[in-house]
Amino acid sequence: MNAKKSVFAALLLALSGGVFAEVAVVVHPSAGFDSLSEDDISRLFLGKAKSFPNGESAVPINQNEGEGTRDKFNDAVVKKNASQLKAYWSQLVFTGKGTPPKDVGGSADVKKLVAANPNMIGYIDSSAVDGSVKVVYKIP
Amino acid sequence: MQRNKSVLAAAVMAVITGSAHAGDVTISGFLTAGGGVADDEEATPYAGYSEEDFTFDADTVFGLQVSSAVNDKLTVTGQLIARGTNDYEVDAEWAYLSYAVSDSFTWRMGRFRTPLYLYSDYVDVGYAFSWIRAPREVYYLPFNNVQGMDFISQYSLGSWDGTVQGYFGALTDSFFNTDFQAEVSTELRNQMGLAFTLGNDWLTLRAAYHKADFNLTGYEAPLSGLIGILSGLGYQDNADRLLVEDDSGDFLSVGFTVDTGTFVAAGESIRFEIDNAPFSIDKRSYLMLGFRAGDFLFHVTGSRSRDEAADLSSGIDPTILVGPVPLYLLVDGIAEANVADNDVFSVGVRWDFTSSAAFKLQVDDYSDNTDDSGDSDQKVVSFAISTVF
Repeated sequence: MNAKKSVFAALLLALSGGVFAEVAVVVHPSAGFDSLSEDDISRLFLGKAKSFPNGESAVPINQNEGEGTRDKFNDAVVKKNASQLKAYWSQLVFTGKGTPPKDVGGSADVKKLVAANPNMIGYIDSSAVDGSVKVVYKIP
Repeated sequence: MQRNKSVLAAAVMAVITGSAHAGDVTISGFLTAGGGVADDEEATPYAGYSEEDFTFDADTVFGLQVSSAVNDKLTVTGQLIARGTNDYEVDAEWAYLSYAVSDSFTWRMGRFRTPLYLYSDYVDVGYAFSWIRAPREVYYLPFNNVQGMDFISQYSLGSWDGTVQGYFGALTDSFFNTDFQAEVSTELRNQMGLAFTLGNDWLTLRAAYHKADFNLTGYEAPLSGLIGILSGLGYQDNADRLLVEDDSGDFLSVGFTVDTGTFVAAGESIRFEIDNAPFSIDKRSYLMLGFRAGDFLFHVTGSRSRDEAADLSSGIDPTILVGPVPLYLLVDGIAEANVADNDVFSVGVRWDFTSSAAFKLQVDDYSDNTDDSGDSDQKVVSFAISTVF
C-alpha cells in the first residue's frame, strides 16, 4: 500500500466513524431481556406501547433536536423525519392522548439516565456504550 | 359566555392546586396566523373570506393547553382558545379531568372535543395537518365540544394499533345558522357516540357514530305563519316537522389517512340527519391526495356536499292553495332552501421551513350547483403559518 492510498483509507475510516456511526438502543443492565425488535422500539417511541414486551413499564427518552444520533434513530427505527414526527406528536399532545419522550441531551446524558433508571430506554452513539447500560438493538 | 368563564376559572384553579401537589405542569401551545382574499365580493363567502382585499381573521387561531398531573393517575387539562372568527375572545374550549385506569384505558370528565371527525381532536392545530383548514364542506358542524364524560381505550392487534372512544354528554350553546340566517339556540341532550380507529405505520381507518336529542329554537319565527296554516288544516304532523323539539339526530362518519412518507392521502364521508326537522339530510365527503418532497408537501383535495331535502310535505293534499301557490310547494321550498350542493377543489402546499413551523398556501375553487348562473361561485387564495410550541 502506498502512502496516498493509506491516507485515503484513513480518511474513509475517519469519515465512516464520524458520519456513519452505529446507534445503539440501550436499557438498564438489570432489564429482564437482552434484545428488542425494531417494531417494539418504534412503538415505545411513538407512544403506542407504554411497557416493554415483558410487561414492565417503559420510559423512552430522546436526544435533543439537532443531534445526528436522534435523526438517525428516527429515520431508521421510527421511520419519520423531524417535521413528520413533530406533526405526529402535535396530534397526540393536543388531545391529551400522549406526550412525546423528553429531550434529555446527547449520548452521554442519555447513558447516564438509562444507567440510573431500570425503566428507561434510550439510544446513544455506539462508541459511547460501556458496562453501565445494556444494548438491546443496534442500527448499523 | 358566563358559563365558559366559570369553567375556565375552575380549570385554572384546578391546574394551580394540581401543580402545588405534583409540580408537573405541561404547557403546550399552537398558533395559526393566516390571511386570504376572495375573488368575488358578490359571490358566496368561502371559509370566512368574502372580501377582495386581504383579511386576516378567518384562519387565525391561538391556543394554549395546560396539563397538570395531580398524581400518577389523575391529570387536569385545560385548553384556552382565541379565534379570529370570535374577535379573539379567549374561551376555555376544553376543561377536563382524566383518570388513567391503566396504560390503555382512560376516563375523562368535563368539557372536551366531540370526536365527530377524523381530525376533530386537533382540528385547531394547523401544524398537525397539511391544509390551512380541514375541508369546510365536511367540517361544518358548529357543535364541536361537549360536556360530559368519556373513555378512551387503546388496543393492539399484531402490528396494528387502535382506539375506541365512547362518550355521553350534553351541550347548550347558540350558533349562527346560515340556512335560516338566524342565531339558533341549541340544546343537545342524551348526546352519545362511539369512535373506532385502527392503524398501522402508514394507514389509519376510522368510523364513528353519534346520536343526540335536539332542541333548536330561534330560526322558526319566519315560519310561524306557515306553521299556523298547517296546524289549522289539521296537518299537525307537517307543522311539527318545521320545529326541532326533542327530535333525534344521528351522525355517521367513516374516514382514512395514508402516509407512506412520500405519498399522503385522506378521505372522509359523513351523513347527518335530524328526524322530523326542516334541516337537510347532509351527505358530504372529501378526498385528499398529496406527496412529500423534502420539506414540501403538495396536495389536491376534492370536497363535495350532496345534501338531500327533508321530507316536510308528505301527506299534504296537493290541491290546497295558499293564494296562488300549492301549500305543499311552499313547505318543500323551506326544505330545499337549506340543501347544500357544492363542489370545492383545492390545491395547496405546506413548507416546513423551520423546526416546529410550517408555511402553507392554498387555493380553493368553490362552486354552488344549486345556482346555474355561476354567480355564487367563489375562489379564495389563502396563506398561513402554523406552529406548535
